Amino acid sequence: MRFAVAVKQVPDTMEMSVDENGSLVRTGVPAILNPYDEQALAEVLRIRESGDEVVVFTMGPPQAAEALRRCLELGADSAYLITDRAFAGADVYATARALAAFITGNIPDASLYVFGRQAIDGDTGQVPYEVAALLDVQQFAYTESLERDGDSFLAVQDYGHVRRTARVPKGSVVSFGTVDPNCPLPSIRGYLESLGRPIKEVDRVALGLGVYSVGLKGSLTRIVSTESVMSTRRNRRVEISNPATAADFIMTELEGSR
Amino acid sequence: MFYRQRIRSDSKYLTDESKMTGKGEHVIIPLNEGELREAVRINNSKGNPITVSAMRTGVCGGCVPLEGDVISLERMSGVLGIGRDERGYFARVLPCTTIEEINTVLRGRDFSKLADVTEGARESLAGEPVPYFYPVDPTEMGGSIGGNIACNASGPRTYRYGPTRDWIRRLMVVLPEGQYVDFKRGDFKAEGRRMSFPAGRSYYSFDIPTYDFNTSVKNAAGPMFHEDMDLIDMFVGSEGIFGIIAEADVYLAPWHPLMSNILFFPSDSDALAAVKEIRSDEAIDPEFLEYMDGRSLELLRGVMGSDPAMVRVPRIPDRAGAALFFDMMMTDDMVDRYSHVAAIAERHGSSLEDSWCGHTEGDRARMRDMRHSIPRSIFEYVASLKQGMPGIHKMGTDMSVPDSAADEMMAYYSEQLDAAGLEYVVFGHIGNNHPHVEIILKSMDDFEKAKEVYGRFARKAVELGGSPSAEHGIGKIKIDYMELLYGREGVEQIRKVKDILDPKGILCRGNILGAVQ
Repeated sequence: MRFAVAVKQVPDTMEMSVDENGSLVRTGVPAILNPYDEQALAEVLRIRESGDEVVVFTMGPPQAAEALRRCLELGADSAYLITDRAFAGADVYATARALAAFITGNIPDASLYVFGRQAIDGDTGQVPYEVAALLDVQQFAYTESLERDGDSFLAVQDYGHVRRTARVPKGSVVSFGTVDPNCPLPSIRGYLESLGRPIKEVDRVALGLGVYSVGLKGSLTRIVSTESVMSTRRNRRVEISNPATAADFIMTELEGSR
Repeated sequence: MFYRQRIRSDSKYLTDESKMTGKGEHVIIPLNEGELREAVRINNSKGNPITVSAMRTGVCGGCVPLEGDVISLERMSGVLGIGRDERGYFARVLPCTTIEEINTVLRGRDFSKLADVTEGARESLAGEPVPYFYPVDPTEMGGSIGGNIACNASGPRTYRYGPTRDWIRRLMVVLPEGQYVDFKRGDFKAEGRRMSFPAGRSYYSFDIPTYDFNTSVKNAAGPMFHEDMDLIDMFVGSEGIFGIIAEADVYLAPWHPLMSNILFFPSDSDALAAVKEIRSDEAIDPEFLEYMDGRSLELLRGVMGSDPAMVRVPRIPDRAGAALFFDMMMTDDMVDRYSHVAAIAERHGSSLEDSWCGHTEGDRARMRDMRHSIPRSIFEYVASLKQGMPGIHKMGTDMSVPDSAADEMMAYYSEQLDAAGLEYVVFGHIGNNHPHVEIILKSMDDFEKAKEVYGRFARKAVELGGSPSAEHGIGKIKIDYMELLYGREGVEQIRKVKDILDPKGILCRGNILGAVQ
């Protein structure tokens, strides 16, 4: 079987700060593999059997290759970097369109297309489903675990109030809704094996997309204006040593704020 | 004028990471060296004892007052400037700057707010192809540089970079009578065993003790003395009994990309057998070598869900029975170097599959968090015992021995602890034959037993040519080992030096020399 895993390189939002104007300070913030994607890849690697192939791909600037390198270290077999200056400024639709074009052209036969639920920087959470729509395949959101079942798969989806197990036909889009902060690190063996695996680059021309179909020009989102909103917080410090009194205090405060 | 306030009996100024608690009257918080000197002068004129404290991360009670006032240097913090001399770059820092803060400033590479200690040093450091860092890693990166200097701290990276002492260029020391001496390495040296130096309007000249400090193993037991010694070395590791560090210049080292690795082994003995082979293999050339025994891993598995510091630590594989943690400099021949690691791992029941590695800062921090969680979990555990057993404190060994005696010492630890029926974990700086054996105390009875066993360990370490305090210092908890190492005469000789510099005996009473008679 062949598994295609879409990933994204994101700034480590745990390390991010906000300046006095309310804008994100990006300089010096390390870039990481999006944790939802890392979890998606970990689940795929968990169910892979010998003879299976795991392909990872990302759309991003040249330095996004680092995120792919990380996937290779964790055990992915091959990697594609979809990169082109023309992709800059893409909204969810333009991103999904480029990813769908890439899938159709390079890995049309994958058993599953696996995504993380959302990237922790953009937080739109729409790309997996738009890709599914463009590919005209079924999509399974909020997946927390995946098992093989003959030729197809069984996905456990967590909707908060309902947990359901669904049969996932071959070729569907599955997006993982969980992250695992205690996820494993690459092994030394994984690192050594990854050194020999190249990252293939794919540009706009290779995808067969015109300049008006990608990036800012291919985006449907139009931003009219932006402003930063500074909210003031009421900070108060109370010291209560008795847990029961403390719990009562919190409940009263919550009631009061309603 | 300086800030001075009464201390409440539950004040943070009365304890440190050893969880020992003391007694004190006031806390004095000077804002600068002038206020510090004024505070020292006033206390000296009244003969009022003062104990110096900063981040209180020590584990031997060095900053815990027994009486009198506490001088907390917490407001004297920050990197002041960058300089360069024939040895290389150095940073000028205030005493309560943490190691983490120094490295954050250096990593940021923006030195525009700092001073040029020597002309053009800031610009030239910013223009270096690689960032620089302060290489002594005492594991606790939140400890102050002054505290690190005062107890000559070391840690995992001592394996490559040596202890704090090797990185000190200059000190400004406020002496117990209120004068100060500002000097570089090489400015004042003993002639044979006669040390002389001027400070303010005073001139000190005295005989230094006749013992020779053991430098063949990792050692932080008491102040260093030897023939023709440098005055810097007398203050480094003296735990504040001779003077208060008010400013320091610390040398910096170029940073190299590093690969962190953890290799898992089926058992403690497999991991320990691999230690020797890794250490003697020139191709692997680790930056440091840390050990986590099976009990440590079990302890970590137990706190995984509850310790917030473990939130990003990877899940420990079920079959792991012990682990070795080491960094390697990233080079072009990693494949070849790892083939040496693979051969050693396979000889001892492990393999490159049973491992973690990481070269990004995030991944490396996850591995460090795991290693650091072991002592922290024990601190937390001991702190939780204090309520029912106020007299209890942490019982962890800090002993180093020469390479040839490493096996004998390890065997002695388990033999004695098993015989006493005590629970324990072993982890730490195995590369320097300096593992920490932490005794998991359950009762005051255990505490008494542990103290006795601990004494035997110290005697054994000294007998084998090692140090009973390799990196934590002596403080107030380990004063018994001073006589063990240097004899009554050696301790008396240190006391004589102390009497000359501090005639009223006000400074850091109880450290190294014990209570003043």
